[in-house]
Amino acid sequence: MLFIHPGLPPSTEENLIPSREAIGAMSRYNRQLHEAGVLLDVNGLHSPNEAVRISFPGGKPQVVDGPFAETKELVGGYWIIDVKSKAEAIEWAKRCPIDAEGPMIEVRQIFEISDFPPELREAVWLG
Amino acid sequence: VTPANAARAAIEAVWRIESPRLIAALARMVRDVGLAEELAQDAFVAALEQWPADGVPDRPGAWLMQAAKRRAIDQLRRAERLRRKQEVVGRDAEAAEELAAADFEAALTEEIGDSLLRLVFTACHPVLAPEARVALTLRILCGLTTEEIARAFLVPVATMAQRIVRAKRTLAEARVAFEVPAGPDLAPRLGAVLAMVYLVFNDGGRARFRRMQPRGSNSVPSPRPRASTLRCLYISASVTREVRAVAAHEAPSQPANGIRTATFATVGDDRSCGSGRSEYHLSDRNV
Repeated sequence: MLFIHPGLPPSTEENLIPSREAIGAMSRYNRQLHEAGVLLDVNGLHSPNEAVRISFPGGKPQVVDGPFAETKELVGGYWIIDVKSKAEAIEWAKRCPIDAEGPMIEVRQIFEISDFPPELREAVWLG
Repeated sequence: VTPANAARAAIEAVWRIESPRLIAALARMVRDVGLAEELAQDAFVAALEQWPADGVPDRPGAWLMQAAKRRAIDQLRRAERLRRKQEVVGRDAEAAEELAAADFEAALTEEIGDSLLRLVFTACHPVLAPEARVALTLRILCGLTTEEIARAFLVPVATMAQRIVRAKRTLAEARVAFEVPAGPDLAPRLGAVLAMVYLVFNDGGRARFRRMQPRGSNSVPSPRPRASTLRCLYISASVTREVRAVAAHEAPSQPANGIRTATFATVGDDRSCGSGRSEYHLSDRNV
């Protein structure tokens, strides 16, 4: 799974819709992923200003509306790709058409059934 | 992880990403799928020697293409010298001409379509036995190793290596043209391609199913067996869409049978592979 962190300041309202060129470049990149047979899912996310966070202090859900102060770790979008190795995920991430200082891509591995110890798999299956 | 291992992993990743397009572009130039694969492999070996020391280049695909191109030109010059001596027909001279004029950047950035589609039709040529077509497609188009293909077919690696070598030799000896057939040739050739898509779909699913079987309570499925199969399915589905476009254009009266097969594979692609849980849908299908 590749997360993109846009690295924008919290109040940035403008420029959330990228330029035609940037959209075209990203679409070409996504098509490359698709045609290589590795892309499972891709999405861009709405502004973090519209995000809502639900935490569970004392086991009770508590809803807090955005915007939030810290933005470094905010996710702007993600790709789910199915590749053979971490190196291949990194290689794809390096090809992402970004030519600015701020944005960053984080590569994370999705937890799968086989990553659970055998004795816990039944719980995963049956709940 | 040592730096050498990290470099090797990076190079293998580049290979998986670049090899089908690289082989397709080379095959278009040298008109020989087996030779194209060898040239691509040679470039890969050069990368294994050079990149750990110099670092992975900024545009690894272009680097591999340049390296392969140099070898292709050497090869064609040697063939040309041989031809002058032996007065063999001018297939290679024609290829050399095209190679000199070829726009390698364009060949590399070309989207799936022409070269890859030609590659599929060549790998699925009726001069080959059906299982040889599947093996060759998995090898050349989907970038699977001979070991992985042997495992999927449940045959020894040496047997599969032989089958692939023979298939490449057969294509070269039959002088199979590297092209998408047109006119009356299209229907039977299209049938062969669609049959391959179907076999990849089913063999891939079955091989995966086998790996999912518990072999006693302590058995752990081999880690991440899915990537290769999914990759094949997606490439097959992409190719199927291309094939259907060609079919609709070239042979509107094509019997629906082949197209139904294609639809099956495409639907399977959309439904079964669209989520991270795809393996279970696929397994069910093959029980």
